[in-house]
Amino acid sequence: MQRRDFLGLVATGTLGVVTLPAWLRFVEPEPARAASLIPVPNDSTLKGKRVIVVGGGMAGTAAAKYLRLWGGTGLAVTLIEQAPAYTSNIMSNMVLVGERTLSSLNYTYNSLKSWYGVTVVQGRVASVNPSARSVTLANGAVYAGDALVVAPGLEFTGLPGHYDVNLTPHAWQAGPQTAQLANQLASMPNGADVVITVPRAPYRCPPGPYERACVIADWLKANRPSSRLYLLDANPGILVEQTNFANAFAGRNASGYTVTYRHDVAITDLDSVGKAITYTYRDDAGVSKAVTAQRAGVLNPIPPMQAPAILRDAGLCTVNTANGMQYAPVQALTFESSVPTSATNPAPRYPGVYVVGDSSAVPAEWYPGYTGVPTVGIPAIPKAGHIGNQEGKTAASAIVRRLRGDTTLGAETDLVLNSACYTPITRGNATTPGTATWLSAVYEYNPLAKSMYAAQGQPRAAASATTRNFSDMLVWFNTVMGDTFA
Amino acid sequence: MFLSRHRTTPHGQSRGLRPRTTAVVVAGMALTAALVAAPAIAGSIGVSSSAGATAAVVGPASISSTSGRLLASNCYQCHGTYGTGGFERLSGESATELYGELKEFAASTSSNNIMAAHAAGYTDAQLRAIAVYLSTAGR
Repeated sequence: MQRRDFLGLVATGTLGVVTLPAWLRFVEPEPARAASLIPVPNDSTLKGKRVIVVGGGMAGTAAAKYLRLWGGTGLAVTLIEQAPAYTSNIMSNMVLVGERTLSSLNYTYNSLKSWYGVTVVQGRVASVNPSARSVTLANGAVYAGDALVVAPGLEFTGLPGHYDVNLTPHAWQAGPQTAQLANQLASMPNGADVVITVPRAPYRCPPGPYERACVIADWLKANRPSSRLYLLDANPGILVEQTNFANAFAGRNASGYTVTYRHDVAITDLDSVGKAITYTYRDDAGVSKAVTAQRAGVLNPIPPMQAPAILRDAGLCTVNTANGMQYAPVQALTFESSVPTSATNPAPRYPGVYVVGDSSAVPAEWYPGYTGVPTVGIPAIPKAGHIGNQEGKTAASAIVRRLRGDTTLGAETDLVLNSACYTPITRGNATTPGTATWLSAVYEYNPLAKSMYAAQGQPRAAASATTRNFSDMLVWFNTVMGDTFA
Repeated sequence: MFLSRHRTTPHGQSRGLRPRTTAVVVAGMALTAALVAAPAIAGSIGVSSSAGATAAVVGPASISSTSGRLLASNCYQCHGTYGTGGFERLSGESATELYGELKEFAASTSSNNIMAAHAAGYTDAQLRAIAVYLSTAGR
């Protein structure tokens, strides 16, 4: 799209709109506006330099875009992605209950290519060679750069028993599985139950499973009133927004649906053919209970997830002791790999290799002086799209500054990572809003510990689910996708 | 219309209905000087625009201006790239005005305002750096 055409659209879209003063922000809704496309600065300082980005999700795409915006026209950026377009995980729960189409969540790489001048290669990465800052594609092509940014997302593992993802899709990666699960729900008879399982943290999108339980329970209430929803959580409790979700599960919200929530769940057998699950859990008094072959009309197990094989096989990962999964440890300030040179030499082994997005593991702690009881899921940096976008920017900033010979990076102690999201509690769409809440967390950098920490008083959540939050959710969604893909 | 935010609302209310920080309204120029002098934002970025110059700047003032650049990019997920859209356009506002608004949010006790939650997580020096950077970013 030519710039003048784009500006023309913006002008048309805002004709007759009176813009509101700042103090009314978040009081009266302001119409969502497309952001202007920002030109890549005409600057050839980094001519001859090249950065390879693997993975066109929220983190990788943001990295590629901001490498060009901050690196200038001289810096060559190549994005390698196997899919022709990205399907957003954010808002994909609304596809399950018929409030959105799957195609409404598709984002192409057209702006990245035609406006930002990123070379987009459609192909599957077969292996990563971190020593050479290169990757080899399935077709044999090799791409090497002065820096390598790897953002491949997550790979889903198995579950105990007779688990078959083709029969009981997780739909935790938006795409065909989302449509499949939506169809299973639509064809489920009244009176059959929906069973969703939550893996041990960390997993992608901490509020996501609770949100999914809410919107499906809301859908059941209207469409399958004799059906129930069970949310079986491997964690010791609701990880985030405890008050909002507990209220929703107990029917203490406008819609009045209920969710049977069970925590400390350990699955011993999962039968994808018979749609049955055997497990233990702890009741609220701490007593262990066993459930044998609970039947479901729709069984939606969300398996544990970890960094994909291309990262694990490259020696870029370590095991997370909380859930046994592997993620790529990175340095907080830059998202450069922190895998040590050897057992005795802590110096990073793979300089110039950056891992951003859900497959990375950022060192995180409580804020200095915290004396409370550790809670599962906090203070870790969440795996989610909004903060993944910021991780891409953080790596882009570090790479560009280093390539330009900026040696002050180590003194850049003002790094902040913001995670924010809106969560629907009841169904709705742009014309008929449901209700939603929000969650926001700000992470600061501690230069002494070289670690991130959730700032005191963070995270904070919406006081309650409101229709206003639902409308804001759509503005947020369109804007974060625009900042990444447009 | 797109560029001008400082209008009355559809209900005819004026911008000053809610009390604002006196220092921001009355002593704007003094605060601008303080902003530019703050150690965290040393450098020339933001001087012309926070002093009220009208020249349009497309993108950052200079590609090598990195003070506040990464910090300010935390805003873009909700306010568009370089603060050019989303909930509200930020780019092109004066540093004084942006800083005043951020401080107002950070001090807010509202339990249902996501900007209050967000702004409270930043240090004062960080808010200043963000304000100065955004005042020169994209038009």
